[in-house]
Amino acid sequence: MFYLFAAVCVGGALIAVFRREPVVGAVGLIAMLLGVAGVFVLLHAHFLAVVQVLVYAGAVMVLIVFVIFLVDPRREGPLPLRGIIMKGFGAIAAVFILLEVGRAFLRGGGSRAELPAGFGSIEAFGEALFGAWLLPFELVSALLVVAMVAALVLAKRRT
Amino acid sequence: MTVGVGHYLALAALLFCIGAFGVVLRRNFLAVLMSLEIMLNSANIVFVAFARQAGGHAGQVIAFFVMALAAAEVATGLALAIAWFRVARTVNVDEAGEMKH
Amino acid sequence: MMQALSNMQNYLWLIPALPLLGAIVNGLFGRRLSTAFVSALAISTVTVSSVLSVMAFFAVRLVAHGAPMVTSLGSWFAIDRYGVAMNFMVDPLSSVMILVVTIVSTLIHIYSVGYMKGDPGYHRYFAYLNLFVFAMLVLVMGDNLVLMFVGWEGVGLCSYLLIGFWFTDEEKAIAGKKAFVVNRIGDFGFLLGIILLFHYAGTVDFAGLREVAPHFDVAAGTLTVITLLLFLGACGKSAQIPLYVWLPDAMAGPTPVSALIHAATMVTAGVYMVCRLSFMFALAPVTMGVIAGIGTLTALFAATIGLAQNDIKKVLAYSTVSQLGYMFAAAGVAAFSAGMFHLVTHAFFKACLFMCAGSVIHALSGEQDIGKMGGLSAKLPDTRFTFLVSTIAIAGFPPLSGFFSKDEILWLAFTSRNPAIPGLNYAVWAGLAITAFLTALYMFRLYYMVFTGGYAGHAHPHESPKVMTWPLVILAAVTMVLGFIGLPAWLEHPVEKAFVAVHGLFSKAPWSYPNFGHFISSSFYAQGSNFGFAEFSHAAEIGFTLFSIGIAVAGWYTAKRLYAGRTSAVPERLAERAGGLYRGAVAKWYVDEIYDAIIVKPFWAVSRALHQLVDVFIIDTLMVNGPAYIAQGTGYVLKFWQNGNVQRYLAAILVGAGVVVYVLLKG
Repeated sequence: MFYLFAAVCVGGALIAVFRREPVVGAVGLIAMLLGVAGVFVLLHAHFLAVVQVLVYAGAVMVLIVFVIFLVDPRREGPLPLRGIIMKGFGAIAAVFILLEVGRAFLRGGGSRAELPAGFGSIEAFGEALFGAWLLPFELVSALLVVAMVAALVLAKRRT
Repeated sequence: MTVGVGHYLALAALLFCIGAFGVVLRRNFLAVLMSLEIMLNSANIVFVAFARQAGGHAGQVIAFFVMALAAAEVATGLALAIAWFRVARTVNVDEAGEMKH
Repeated sequence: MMQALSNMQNYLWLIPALPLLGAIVNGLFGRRLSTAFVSALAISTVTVSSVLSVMAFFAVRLVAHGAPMVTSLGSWFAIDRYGVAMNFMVDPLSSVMILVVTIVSTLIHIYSVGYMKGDPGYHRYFAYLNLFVFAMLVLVMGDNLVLMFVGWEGVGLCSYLLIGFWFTDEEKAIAGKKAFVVNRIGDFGFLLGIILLFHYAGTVDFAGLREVAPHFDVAAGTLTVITLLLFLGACGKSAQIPLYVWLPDAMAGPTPVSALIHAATMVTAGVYMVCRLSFMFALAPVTMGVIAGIGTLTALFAATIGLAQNDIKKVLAYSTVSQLGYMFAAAGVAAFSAGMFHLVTHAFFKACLFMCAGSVIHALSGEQDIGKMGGLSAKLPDTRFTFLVSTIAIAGFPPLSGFFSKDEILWLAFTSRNPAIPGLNYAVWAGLAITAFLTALYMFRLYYMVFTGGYAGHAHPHESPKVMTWPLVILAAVTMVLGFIGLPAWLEHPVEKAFVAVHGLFSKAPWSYPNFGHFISSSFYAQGSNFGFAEFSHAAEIGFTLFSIGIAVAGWYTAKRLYAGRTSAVPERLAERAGGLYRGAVAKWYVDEIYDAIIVKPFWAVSRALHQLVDVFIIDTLMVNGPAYIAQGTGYVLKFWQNGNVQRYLAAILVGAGVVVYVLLKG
């Protein structure tokens, strides 16, 4: 199961990054997000998986697609030459990081803690969220409000 | 070979690098934004994987926060894209030099 | 009445406080207040101050019988063993000074209402004037040198502000600056003197100094140095050689200012300071010799310049310098009360002269060249009359005030004995006698040039308004009678007898003839002083008096022959004959030029060199721009990285992250 989801994730991500048409890229991204949701399920994070599907694959992607239609971006030209050296170095470094880190991770298996009863259930997650993490939670809600206001202000047409 | 935490981390690293590729190389602002989402999701996988590993909920909660953050970021980012598009008729990041100085 | 006078001690602080109040209100809100209110406030504060001063004077004279009255406003600061109190003191000396300052100020304030009418800086002018009165009163009433210095600097500031009052005219602004800078030199000496006194005497209040002064080791020269430094300060403020050059230029200010600050009050501060510290100066005979010498030289020197000037205010300015020299000469021969007496009489007649000049200038719409005046006696009768009275007074004709004070100085200069420099008294006397002749000459020259003959200008002269002429009349009246409080000894007894007899006809109350010298002398008590005055018979004194009258008459007669009616051609011929001398006098003996060549120019050169070396090279290039250049160079290299493209930044971050990962995993 893990490999299935992982393949979906990687494939979607590759489409999202390397296809030039934004709409196709957005579809790839949705695929990747769904794949990640599957990974979450495998990791017993059921609530997060649900949120991932609802909020990410649903709301956020609708927003992105909507904006894509709104601004109607032209197809990108070839890769720009400006800063290509630095970007190339960056890309090479990314590949290097991937190889090194991936190798290191795959080498170490690591032990797993015995899962307590009900781990990952919405009930347990809720208790954690509204217990120890209440203050950050409230701050995040404030952040969302601020972001919403900011988005409104920025996107509002100047009269 | 059983699927351990290392596999999840490797997947996360792969996604992170793909996302980083996109952020660095793509010119379209929307594509950059989407690549950023990929990177955030890879980070989420790491959080959740370690939460699974440690048997606590902290990682999941933080992943949840990251999602909220990502939503906020997408909202403002898209608003910026629209505002900018209205001015410059483009969403290519390498043409956005007017605010440099 | 007596009750009020004995309570006076508690209200002394009001005397300087009221003008300060006026200055603050007019200075801060004057722009929004009406002209009438501004002048009413300024005049009323000074008037109340002068009434209080009169009361203080009588309190000292009748209640305290010459003992100092002190109001303490608390301690100003106390550091270790050095402390300075905020005390205002009125003793005979300062009571006379505050009388002069407040009364002359009041009259000049009133006069200014007419003179400054319509000036856009009206409220500013009165605020400065009030501030000046405040500072001058602090100077006079402070009971220690530090408080005196505060007033000293305060009057300097006001002088600067008022000389440059019309600061849009660059020449006037420069004149203000010149006064300020030259005064700084003197103030530097004054300040050093104060600091040395703090160090050696441990105190700077006058009562304390008076006790300490006799214990100085005169031979060691400490006291001589201190007093010389203090005298340098007096030189700056009172325009003596070598620091007199600012005063003639200070005539750029409004004429009432010239009258108040640069004739009657501020410039006498140096004389006042020497008299105030007489108990110290009298113990340093070398300093006294220097003072007498410089005073005499200045008197003579300025008189010769005044003789050749054609600007009505410049003539009066040099006359002021000359008369201040007289006062210093008197102080230098330990005739302090004679010096103070001349200060008082001079304050009145010189203020009157300046205000007459102001009236003339006002009438001629700003004309100051006496060559373009003449024949104004018919057009300006009041001005002419008061000018004549003051001229007679300054020339030294009896029985006007100038005669008595000048005669007393001449007499005491001749009879004085300086223990360190024998024979000095004769030189001083000779110099002052010549000066007296020149004074009569140039003053009557001025009078004849301005008021007699035919009018040579083009303006339409008109008499000044009442608000300007009345102060003139009052000053002239004071000038006429003031001399009688300082009669020479041989004349005093008969006059006193006569007055007491007349008084006895009307009243049974005891009455004594007011004698300035007796009243003020308690302030000049100098323990351990070796100064003395030779005894001569009354006949000799009478002879000297007749001689000084003769000098004055000679001066007047010469002036009349040369200048009356402006018809004589002699002055031109004289000027041709004595070409070099005349041109030298006209050019003020080139003192400004000499100062320019030996002080200002080298100073500029050194300044410029320092500017190039320190400012431009070390500070600007190395210290200020150096780091900037380094930063610029670094930035030039780094700017390829800082190109504003976020994606490249991120790529760089990734490279960095790659390095970190490599190090972590390999290491």
